[in-house]
Amino acid sequence: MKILIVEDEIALQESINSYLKVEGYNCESALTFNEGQEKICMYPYDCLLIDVNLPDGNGLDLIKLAKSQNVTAGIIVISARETIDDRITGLNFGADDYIVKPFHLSELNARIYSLLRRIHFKGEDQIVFNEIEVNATERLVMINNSPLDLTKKEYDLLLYFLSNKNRVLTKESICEYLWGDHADNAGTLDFVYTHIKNLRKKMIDKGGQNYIHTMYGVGYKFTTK
Amino acid sequence: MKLLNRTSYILITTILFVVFFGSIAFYIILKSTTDKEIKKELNSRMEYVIHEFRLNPTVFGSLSLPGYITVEEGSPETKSMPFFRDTILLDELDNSYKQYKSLTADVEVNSEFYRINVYKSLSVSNQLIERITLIVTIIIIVFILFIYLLNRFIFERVWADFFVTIDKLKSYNVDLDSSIHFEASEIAEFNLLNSALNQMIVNLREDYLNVKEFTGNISHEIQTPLSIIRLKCELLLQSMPLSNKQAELIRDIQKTNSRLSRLNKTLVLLTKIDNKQFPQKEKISVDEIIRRHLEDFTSLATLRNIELKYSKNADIYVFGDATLIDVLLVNLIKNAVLHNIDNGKIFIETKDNEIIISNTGEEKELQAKKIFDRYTKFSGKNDSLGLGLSLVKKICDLYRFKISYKYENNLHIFSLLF
Repeated sequence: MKILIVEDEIALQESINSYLKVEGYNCESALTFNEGQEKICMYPYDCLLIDVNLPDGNGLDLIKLAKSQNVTAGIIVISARETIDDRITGLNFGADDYIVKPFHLSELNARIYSLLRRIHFKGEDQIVFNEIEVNATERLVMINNSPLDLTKKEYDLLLYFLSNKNRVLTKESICEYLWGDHADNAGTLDFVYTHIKNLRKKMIDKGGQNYIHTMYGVGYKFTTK
Repeated sequence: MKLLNRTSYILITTILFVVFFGSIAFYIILKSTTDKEIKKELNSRMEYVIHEFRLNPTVFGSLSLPGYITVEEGSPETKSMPFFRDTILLDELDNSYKQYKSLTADVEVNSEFYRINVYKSLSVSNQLIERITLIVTIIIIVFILFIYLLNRFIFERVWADFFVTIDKLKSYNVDLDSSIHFEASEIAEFNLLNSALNQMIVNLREDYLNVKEFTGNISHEIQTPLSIIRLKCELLLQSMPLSNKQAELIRDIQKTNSRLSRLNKTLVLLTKIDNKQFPQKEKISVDEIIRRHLEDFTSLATLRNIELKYSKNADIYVFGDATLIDVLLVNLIKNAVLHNIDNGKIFIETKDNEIIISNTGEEKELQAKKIFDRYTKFSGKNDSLGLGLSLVKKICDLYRFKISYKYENNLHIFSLLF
């Protein structure tokens, strides 16, 4: 999978790059609008990460360009702007998703993972991990072929873990992924624990393994080890 | 008081004051001048009478012409210096009393003593004084009226350019117009005012645009380094093996970083509201916003076994910026969840033009006065910025909504009147 990161801030772009590389993506980067323009026109990508604020242009114009070139890549807009308008504009221009700075790499990763699945497995969006089977189109989870009854948040949480296997996920990042705008609600941190406890219990009850490991004082990790 | 009225008032009171004392002085001077003239005339008449009398005493001895001259017999005892007198005599022609001035002199002719009175009617001179006074008064009244009208006319002519300037200032929009084009005035002072205003507007607009640009950029400029810190921490966290202590340190950095990021976003929002950078107004359904967030809040509430009940009794539509109305409602509901107790309750109710959000919580009334101040924290929760309600208040002030707080039946009640 090839991903183009159009981001003028080198430190940000490098961090995204190094996180996504571990996931097995082939990342390329463009630091300016012009470089982005060039690369979008010349090479095929599966996913474009585009920062709206570029030194020599507006990232939204890159989306327009990509759409006019019939680029099939999924597009995620990275925006520092807050207002609902800006987000809607991004989506109206043809972006598939947006993420607001500052974000967590694990969240970006989850969104890329979900976007790429949507693009490549139209109609049959499935994730299989050992005994766990997720049908993302219908939001169904099976463990050992028996359906697992999850709440919406528990389902989101499981998908987040499956998107970030073998990664340390902090409570904060889980929180922001689950609650988005309402993550700054300080009370939510405590609920992460409750959600994880419930999810873990439901999975074990169905005969699944306990993949969710608590990293003391930090967060959680979804791993077979 | 209008400038015109003010100047007219000063002008007219001054004129009236001058005229009042001036006419008194005028009257006194006129009166004393005529008096002097009359006395002079009486004296010369008396001299003439005495002269004639001495030449031919028999003619005048028995002569008496009332109103003009009378001669009586005198005696050496009553002889005195000539003196003037005001007197009233009956005019037999029209049978009325009239004012006269008389001069009385005692003369000795051929050892006989006579008292001679000569009279001068005052009615003519009095009438003259009255007429003159009347004419002067009329002239003064006409003069005052003329001054008033002239003042009005001058005011309208001279100040016309001033009102043009005022109208232009009123219609000035700092967001759209870079400067105001003032027509050149005939009056140098107004040209001076216009150029000073233009200078001021240019400076103000520059400041305004700087602040606007600053608040627009600061979000990006600060969020980017914060993003970098966050991502580097995340990468560091993935670089195993980490000791528990190290991991905890990284997490603390992340937590502080998130806090700084939220603080920045909120302060930028507050500043933007202060700068009136949300000019868009659209029709927004309150119900729609609440429903959009209800699921998230319900799931948050359920985790602490808090009962959240939303009863919609009215379709409320407000005009405003979608982002701000969203922030307003979310902040209020968020507070109700955040400052609640386990197994508590939240009621969201809309009716008429009002939304009431009540929740259980700490059984203590909050200080209603301080509740909307910045950085006021009533709970011991460290993660709270203490900006939520001041943001709510600011948005309410912007759109003239009324927000109030009360504590009743163990419920903290926030009521928002649109």
